[in-house]
Amino acid sequence: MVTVVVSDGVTFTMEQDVAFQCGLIADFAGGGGDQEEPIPIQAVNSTVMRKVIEYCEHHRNDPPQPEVPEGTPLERKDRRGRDAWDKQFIQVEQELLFEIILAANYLNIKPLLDLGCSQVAEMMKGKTPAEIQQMFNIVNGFTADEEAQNGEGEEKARNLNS
Amino acid sequence: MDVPQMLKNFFLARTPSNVVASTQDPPQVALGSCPGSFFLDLPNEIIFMILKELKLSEILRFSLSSKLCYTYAVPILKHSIVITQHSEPTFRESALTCNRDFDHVHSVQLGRMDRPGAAERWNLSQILRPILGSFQNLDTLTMVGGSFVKGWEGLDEVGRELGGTLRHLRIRLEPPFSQDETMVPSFFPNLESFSLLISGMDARSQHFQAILREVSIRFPVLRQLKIGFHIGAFETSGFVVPAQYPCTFFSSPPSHFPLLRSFDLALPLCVSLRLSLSNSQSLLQFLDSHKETLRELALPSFLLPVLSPRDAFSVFTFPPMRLLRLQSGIDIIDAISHPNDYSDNPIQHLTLYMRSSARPFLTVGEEVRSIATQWPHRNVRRLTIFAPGIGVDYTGIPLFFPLLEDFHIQFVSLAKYESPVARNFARWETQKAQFLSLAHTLRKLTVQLMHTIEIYRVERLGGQVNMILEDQEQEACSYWTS
Repeated sequence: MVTVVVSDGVTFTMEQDVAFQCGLIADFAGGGGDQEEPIPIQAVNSTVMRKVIEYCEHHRNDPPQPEVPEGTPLERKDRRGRDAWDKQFIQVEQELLFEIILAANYLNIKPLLDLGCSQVAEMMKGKTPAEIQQMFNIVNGFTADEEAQNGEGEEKARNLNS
Repeated sequence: MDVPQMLKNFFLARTPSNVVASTQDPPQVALGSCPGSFFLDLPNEIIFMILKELKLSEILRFSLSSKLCYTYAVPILKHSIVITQHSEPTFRESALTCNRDFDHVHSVQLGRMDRPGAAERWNLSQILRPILGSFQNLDTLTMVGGSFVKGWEGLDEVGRELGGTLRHLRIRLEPPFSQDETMVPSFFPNLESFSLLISGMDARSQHFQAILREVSIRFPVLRQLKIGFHIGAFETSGFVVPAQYPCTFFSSPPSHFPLLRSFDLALPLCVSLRLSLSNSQSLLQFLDSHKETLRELALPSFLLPVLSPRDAFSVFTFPPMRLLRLQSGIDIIDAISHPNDYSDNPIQHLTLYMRSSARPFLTVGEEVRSIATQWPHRNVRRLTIFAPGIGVDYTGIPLFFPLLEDFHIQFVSLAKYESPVARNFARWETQKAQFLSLAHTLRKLTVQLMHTIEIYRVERLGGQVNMILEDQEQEACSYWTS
């Protein structure tokens, strides 16, 4: 068993095969047996850690990714495919989604990081610049001249889709 | 709509003051962000990961949402560009002004792939120095459509101008193939993948052989090598058999690339290679000298001077290789894929070409079963079969590959009208029920029926008509997963 203590002081104990999906924990534990001392995870709070553990538990029996680089675009697309559970799992509030991404990056869980990034990209698809501004709470910062150029850019973006 | 042209206009038109130098040099000033923007609080490398999931038009929209977003998007938008003959003058003009945006460019494609009728011949040497030489960080050069270099001297020219930075090169060579013997061959010290397409050449000439021997010296860190020949002789009815293309590349002394991981002797899917025994020995020598490093091997469908696959196995003694990915015709697949220990065949991706004029297609399913039982492929996760699909029973095949997850059946044709897709689809509906009953033995199984259409362009080169494979289109006819 592996125990971690997160930023708000909550302690989580999990089985090794679940914990070792986090590269950071595996490195910390050195791949050895049970860890007696709790591992401090200061960059992650308990809400996010619960989600991370939920993800790792679900994928604990996944086989390692086959060592086949490159491949056709079709194959690469297939490899990135998400299953239904993943899609449901990552349907969370925006703030939590970004915290999960940061946690996955910190804990070094590549599949979860990919899943989170993929979800953010999904949210951006089909959105206009104004909708993206609103969704991510962004102020545009362009000058008037640049705004005028943007009009042409939007037209081009529309044409790229047609 | 000329999409690359529009992108290029966008690329050349805007040069804002806060353009960042590269993805390694991300924006430092939080222009346009405000408290509570979780997205812009993400680390730069994660924002780039997200943007790489988006299509070009979506990245363009994102770039217009704020000045900071623009600075994030620029390196990605300008990372890979397409230069056509139409856009060449604009790039040439921009290169003269030392455009800073050129520093973002890492990958250039010359010409277009998807317009075989419109491809015009275009000699790379016309733009090599004035335009490509201006891209200081260029690591990938891809020549498609009508773009080409003239012989080995053309390749040397590329090496002298770009050899220091290139890591990936796809180039098409055209005659003449004469070479100044006193000239020192150019050197590509960082090139990892090299795709060489040869057009209009009589590959049997001694001169061709002599020069090819120098290839391995030029590329000390090469990991992926793909060699293709454009087709000279062609039949348009039935399955295509080209004129004989001897594998002179493998002639003695054999080329050797110490880090070679992937080798692809490429021909279009519709084409089989007529291999003589002497050529096959050269090929075997080449494979033998790379058996320690080679993990991916793709050979075309062969027409062998033997009667059956069993005869092929006795004639072609392939060296044992720890291949992870293997693609070839069914005639020799078992001869290639056998490891020393038959219980531990490491191949994960297996692709079989079923077409062969030597045997009727009705025996295809039986052949696969025979191979699978004799040389178990226990680690195969993805199986692709290129076959006509007429009268073939595939349903038992997944049973022989216990880890199989993706099973693709591909139909290949020279044009859309050639393949009886509708008929195959009707047959598929009856087979689906049988796949369903088999799926419970496997952890996961996805079966996909695909139709691959090869698009060719005709050119007259070196005194012969060449059929040049321009592009492939794929249509998913049906899809089923457990």
